[in-house]
Parts: sequence; C-alpha cells; structure tokens
Amino acid sequence: MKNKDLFPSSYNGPVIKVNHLAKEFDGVTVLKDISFEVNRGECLVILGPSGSGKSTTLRCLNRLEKPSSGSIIFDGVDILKPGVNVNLVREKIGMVFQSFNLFSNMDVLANCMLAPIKVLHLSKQEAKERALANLTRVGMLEKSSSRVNEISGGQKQRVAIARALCMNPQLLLFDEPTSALDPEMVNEVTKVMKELASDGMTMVVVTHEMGFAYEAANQIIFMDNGYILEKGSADYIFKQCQNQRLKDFLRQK
Amino acid sequence: MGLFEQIGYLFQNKGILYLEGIASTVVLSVFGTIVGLFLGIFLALGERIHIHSHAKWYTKLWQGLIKGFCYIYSVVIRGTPMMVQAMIFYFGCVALGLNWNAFLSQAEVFDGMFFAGLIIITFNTAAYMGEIVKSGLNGVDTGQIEGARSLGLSRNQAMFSIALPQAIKNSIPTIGNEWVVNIKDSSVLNVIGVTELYFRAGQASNKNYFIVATYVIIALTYLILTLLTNGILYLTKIKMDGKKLNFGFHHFASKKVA
Repeated sequence: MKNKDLFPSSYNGPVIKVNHLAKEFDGVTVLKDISFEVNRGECLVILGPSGSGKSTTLRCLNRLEKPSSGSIIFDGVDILKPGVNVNLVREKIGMVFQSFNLFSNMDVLANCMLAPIKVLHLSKQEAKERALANLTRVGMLEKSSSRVNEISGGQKQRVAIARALCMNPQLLLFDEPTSALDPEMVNEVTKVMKELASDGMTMVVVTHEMGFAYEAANQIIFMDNGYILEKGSADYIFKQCQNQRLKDFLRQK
Repeated sequence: MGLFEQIGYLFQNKGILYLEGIASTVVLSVFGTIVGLFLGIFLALGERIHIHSHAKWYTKLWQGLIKGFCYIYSVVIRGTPMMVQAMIFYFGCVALGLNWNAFLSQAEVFDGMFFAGLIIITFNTAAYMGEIVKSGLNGVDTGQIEGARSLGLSRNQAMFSIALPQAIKNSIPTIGNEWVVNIKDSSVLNVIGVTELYFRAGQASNKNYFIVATYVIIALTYLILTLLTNGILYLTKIKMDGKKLNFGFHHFASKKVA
C-alpha cells in the first residue's frame, strides 16, 4: 500500500484531531480523556508537570505508544484503526526527541539522507539536495560532514529538526526538545522552532520553555495527572486563567 | 643438547611442518571467525524475529520454528565441547557413508579432514557469535531505533540500517576475542586429524623426543599469532572510529590536565 492510498488528497479538516484518548500502562492509567485538534499551520504547546502525561500524549500521536482507547484522526484517517500501516503515518509526522536520537553510526548529512532514500525512495542526489537545503535552514550546513559526536547538544537538536524536515512532514512533534540543553543552547534551538512556526509548519510541542510557549503557541494545553485542565490561547493561559493548579505551576517556573 | 640447541635443530629440520601448521591454523581461525560471524548474525536475527499477533497461522508457525531452532542451536553448541562435536560430526558423516577424502584429497595440508575441521569450527563459532551479536543489539540505545521508526523506517530497515551496524561495531572487541579463541581452540581439531599447528608439533617431536623445545616453539607461535590478531583488531577499531593512527604516543605529547 502506498501513502496516497491511505490518505485522501481531498481532506481539508484539522491536521490532527484527538478524541477521548486514553492510555494504560500495566493497569496504571496515565492518560484519561484527552481531546484536542490542531489546524494546518498552528502551533500547539502542551505544558504540565512531570508525569502529567504530556510526552505519552505526544508519543501516541505517531503511535510510538499504542493508546488503549479513543481515536486519532490524522489527515482524515483514524490511525488507531487496526490494519493501518503505521510506517505510512510516520512518514508524514516528524518527531524531535529530548535526547536527539541522531544515528551515531552516521555523519550529519547521512542522518538527514537515510529516511528520504529508504522510505521515500528518493535518489541519492535528490536526498542530498534536500538534506543540504534543510541543514541550511537550521544553520547547520557547515557541519554537514561532521560526525554526530563532534557537535554540541544545540547543534545536534538542530540537525534532528533538519532530519525530520527532510521528510516534508505534515506535522512536527517536539518532545521536550530543549530539556537536555544548557540555557545558551536552548536559545539556538527555540529560535529555529519559532522560525518554523512562523513559516506555517504545523507543530505540537511539549516543553518547559515558557518564553517559547508564550511567543509561538496558537493554542496551549495545560495537563495534569492525565487530564487536560486548561486549554486556550497564550494570553488566556498566562494572564487571564484563574485555575489555581495552573497558577501554582506557572509561579514555580 | 641444550634447549636452545634443540630449538635450533627443530627449526632447521622440521621448519616446514611448523609453516604448514601455521597456514592451517590461520585459515581455520580466519575462515571460522568471519563466516561464523555471518552465520551468528542470522542466528541472532532469527532469535529476535518479531511475531505479529495478527499474522497468519502458518507465518507464526515458521517464524516460531526459526526462533526455536536458533535458540536450541545456540544452547546445544555452546553447551558441548568442540572436540566432542568434531568427533560426532566427522565420524557421523563417515558412518553415513561420506568419504571425506573426496574433498581436496590431493592437497598436502588442506585435505578432507581439514575441510571437516573448517565446517566444525565455523558452525561452532556461529553459536558464540550469535550471542555476541544478540548482546550487541541489546546494547543499542532504544532512542536510536525510535529515531529511525519515527521517520517511517520499518522494523527491518531500522534493524539493518541502524541497530545492526552499531551492534557489530560495539562488539568488535568481543568478536576479536572470539578470533583469538579460535586460533588456540582450533588445536582440538587434531582429534580428527586436522594437520593444524598443534598436530604438527606432535609430528615434529616424533622420534627426537625434543618435547619441551617443540612445545615452546608452538607456544611462542600461538602467542605471535594472537598478538598479530590483536594488532589487526586495534587498527580495525581505529579505522571504524575514524580517528588518526597513534600508538599511544599522544599520552606523552598532550598537555597535562590541570
């Protein structure tokens, strides 16, 4: 089955729509009733304390975790239906991890070229052009022949973003992309992310960077204990909302 | 004659036997290690086959059979001495009517028994290599696999592009150790008459009874072979790490860390 057979080209609704998502790990319910939707070009930021289920929610969106119930409509297709080829879904959903997860047996350029060649069946030349363009976009062109262990954490994360962009994803997921970085490096990564957001990339970002959330988010979700407690614009979440749990969380940050 | 005179005598008169023994031992260990590694990779992958819960029953059946075979093979081969395996395999084949001398019977060193030895050491090594590759795969960071899968690579693509290359690279020291073990353990193949180094020692000390001198030479020869092996492995590792060659001199050249 090819990608175009799974996803209807005429679809015009939200990029991703999550309905009543729940997830259980060995009898412990970590997600209870998660519903939200992200429209094309929107940036959704998920905030919340550790253990609230932010990362699990994100990992359910590209099925790195299998939800227990609910539905996830991505590009018009329920990706939790049995028989859906998860690899076809992941082609169109990029992910950036807290620990970078760059392939340590390859250099920077090869990291960006692998999936376009293996999955999209691009020629080497096409994949290289695409990789160089995306490395330029994140400001990492001059390091394209470096080994992965020769570059800094911030640089690694920018390469990881470029690697995800090389698949031309419909949606980009960020799982605490700056949590493993020192403050100086955080800025170089959030700068790239803000540029992506303003260029119209559809993004779901789990982060503790309140500055990024306030500036870039079209929509913010505050999660605690497996539930969405608050949902709204950046102004609503940071200024107007009277939810005591949210105020406590923001004060400690 | 003193020990050194005996050694001199053996070199002069039996040197060709040693050289033939070295050739045999080197070919056995190199072939056994390299081909054994490839078979070991198959064993490791076989044991790690992922059986989909919604697969057809016959798919599940043959996948289960492969998994079971790889597991049992590893347990049986690693749980019995190679010397015993050699006896059973060699004479078992003879009992079944196989004439080993049909293979390579004209050759001086690489005769039918050598051919049998080659098969035994290869299939024996495969079991150990399988374990090495398996533990190498277990040592690959799960994030590496998640990174690959998140880009849409299938389970197999992630295995062959990411996990396996990393596992093998990280296992180079252990794989090399297996090579060193093979150089020494090929000596047990003398029980089926493989004319490797240890077998040649017996021939060299025949009649003259220079037992100590003979086996001192053999011991030194094994030592030189294994040291050379370690050298080759060191160079391989450096090459794979993409670093420049240095032979430990950087310790003297680099500045002291305050």
